[in-house]
Amino acid sequence: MRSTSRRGFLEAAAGLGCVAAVPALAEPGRTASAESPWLRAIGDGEAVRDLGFRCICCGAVDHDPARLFEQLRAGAEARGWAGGNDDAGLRAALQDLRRSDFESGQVVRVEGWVLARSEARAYALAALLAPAA
Amino acid sequence: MLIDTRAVADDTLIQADICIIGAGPAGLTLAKSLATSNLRVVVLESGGIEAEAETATLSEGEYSGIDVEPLEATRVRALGGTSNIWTGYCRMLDENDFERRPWIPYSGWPFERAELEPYYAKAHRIIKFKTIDYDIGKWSARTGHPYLKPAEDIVHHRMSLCRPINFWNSYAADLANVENVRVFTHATVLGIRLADNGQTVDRLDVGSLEGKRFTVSARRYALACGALDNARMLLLSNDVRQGGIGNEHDLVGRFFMEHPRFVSGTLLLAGRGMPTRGLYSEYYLGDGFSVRGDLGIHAAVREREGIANVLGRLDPSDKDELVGGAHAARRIVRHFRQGRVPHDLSENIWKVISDMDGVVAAAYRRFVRDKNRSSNTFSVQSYIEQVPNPDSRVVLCGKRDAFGQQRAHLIWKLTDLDRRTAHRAVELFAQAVGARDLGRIRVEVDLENVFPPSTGWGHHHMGTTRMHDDPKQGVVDRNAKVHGISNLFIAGASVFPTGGCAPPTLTLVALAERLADHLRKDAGAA
Repeated sequence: MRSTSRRGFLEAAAGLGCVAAVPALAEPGRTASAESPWLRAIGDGEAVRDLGFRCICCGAVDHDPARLFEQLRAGAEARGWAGGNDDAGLRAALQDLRRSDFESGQVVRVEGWVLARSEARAYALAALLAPAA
Repeated sequence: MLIDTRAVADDTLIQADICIIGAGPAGLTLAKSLATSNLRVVVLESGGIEAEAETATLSEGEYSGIDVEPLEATRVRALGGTSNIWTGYCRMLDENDFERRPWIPYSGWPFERAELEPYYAKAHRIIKFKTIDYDIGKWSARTGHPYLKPAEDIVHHRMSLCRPINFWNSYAADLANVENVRVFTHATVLGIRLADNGQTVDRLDVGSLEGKRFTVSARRYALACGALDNARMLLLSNDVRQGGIGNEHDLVGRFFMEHPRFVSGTLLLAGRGMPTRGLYSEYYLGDGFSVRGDLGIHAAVREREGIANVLGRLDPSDKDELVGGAHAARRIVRHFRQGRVPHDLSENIWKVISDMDGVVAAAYRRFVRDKNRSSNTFSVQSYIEQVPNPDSRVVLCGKRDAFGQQRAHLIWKLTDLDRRTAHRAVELFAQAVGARDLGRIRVEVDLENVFPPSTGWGHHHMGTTRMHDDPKQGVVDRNAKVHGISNLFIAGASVFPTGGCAPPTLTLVALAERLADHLRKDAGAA
């Protein structure tokens, strides 16, 4: 497996982490194929899936989608997400969760990159849920 | 008055109130301050007005432990001392650097930073800073350049002010044209001779490479030869006190510290990135003055993590550029600009030749593409505080210099705490950047091999005659007087008990001003 390119990494991070900072990479069309609000919130681009698989392969996060989902759902609900199809609310809750992870040191290393644990879980979930290309 | 020792008659006895050994930033600051008193001051400089190859050989020595540059390449024996090759970066030590930190063995100065504040103010004037402002927000407003805002509860910005003055060129008129100061060039101290009671310095034996020999007798002496030679001089002067002067507790030469620096990470910024020639580079403001912003980690976080002080420097250069052919090319150019030949010239030329693509790409980026541009990618260079370690030390070796004196052998050793600091710091930078969605950092070091072969050092030699009120824990007391010797003082970074992660020159100049105050009072001078 080749290591993640900087461009690929940035695209993946844009899907979840840096949406506000990289508006060009967060266009609605990029997630149009996704049915789940989770994929819409995380992003399902190739770069996201690639990074998600890398997160799983290096053992940074669980490889069970149900467990990943539960971990993220619990975190999002604890940060005010009411469930349902509230995309904006879910996105904000995941962003809050990610920032909190960074601040409290809940981080993982994936090929050297320091990621929030919830962020890595989200990438992994995207990789496992997204329909095969 | 400037006097060439080669014109002094053999066996002359020169008398003074205060004799300063060494004419670098510490010695010249001391001399300049005392020049306004009624004290008769003698300054002894081993070199000449400019660096000379034969004199430079006196600084040669051996080293082991961590691979370093040859000792003579890091110091200059000439008027102005190592300020002849100084890059000019200045920043005060943090308040926390002066405190005893229980997780750092041997930490703690005998006084708080507040004691040094008035002398820091003087030191800024001596280095001719017209603007003293360490707030990056103000510099951002003044220059119009943006700066990053990572999580403020983890990291903060540290500005450095930069003005690379040559201390001799700046103050020659103040010293050479006053009656009460005599500056001797080509005057190498061959021994500090104690009186029979072993508690007072009686005289100095001085010589030139041409064979001149004379004696200096003063009421007080200040040793200001840098951390390697301060320790060496004390160890060599062992005719009355076995083991050398001030070495009753085997402390002279121990606790050698440096500022190891190395590429620790790659910062990938979101959005449009940051200017490559902005506040994170050396931002030139004219009149020889520039500023630079770096990242630091809050004292409370360092305490919680149990790590030492650390600085994160953001460099728009690619990591490969910082360690490959481009790095070698920059090294060659820098040395030649300073009138020196790098000791590893052939090795560096080979690196340039074998990485010509990298050199051309780096030159293109530096001089064409990146000028006034932004970049998403910055290398993170860590500069860490090396914690005090008694096994990191200067000793005498079997080789001898042109005077027949034993040369110094530097045994530079780092500890697990240094490794943990280096490793954890870049993770903390990554957390702070990630928490504000500024981008992500890739860690480029691992705990087992945290100091890569490309690790450099700041040429900041510190700690070999450390300051402590207890003679069993320090060579000098809080007034920089050698324990057990009534009239011998030490100036320079060799007295630092800890070195923080700030360049040492500003602090050693402040300490020299403080020592001058003490010597004036001690001597009852007007």
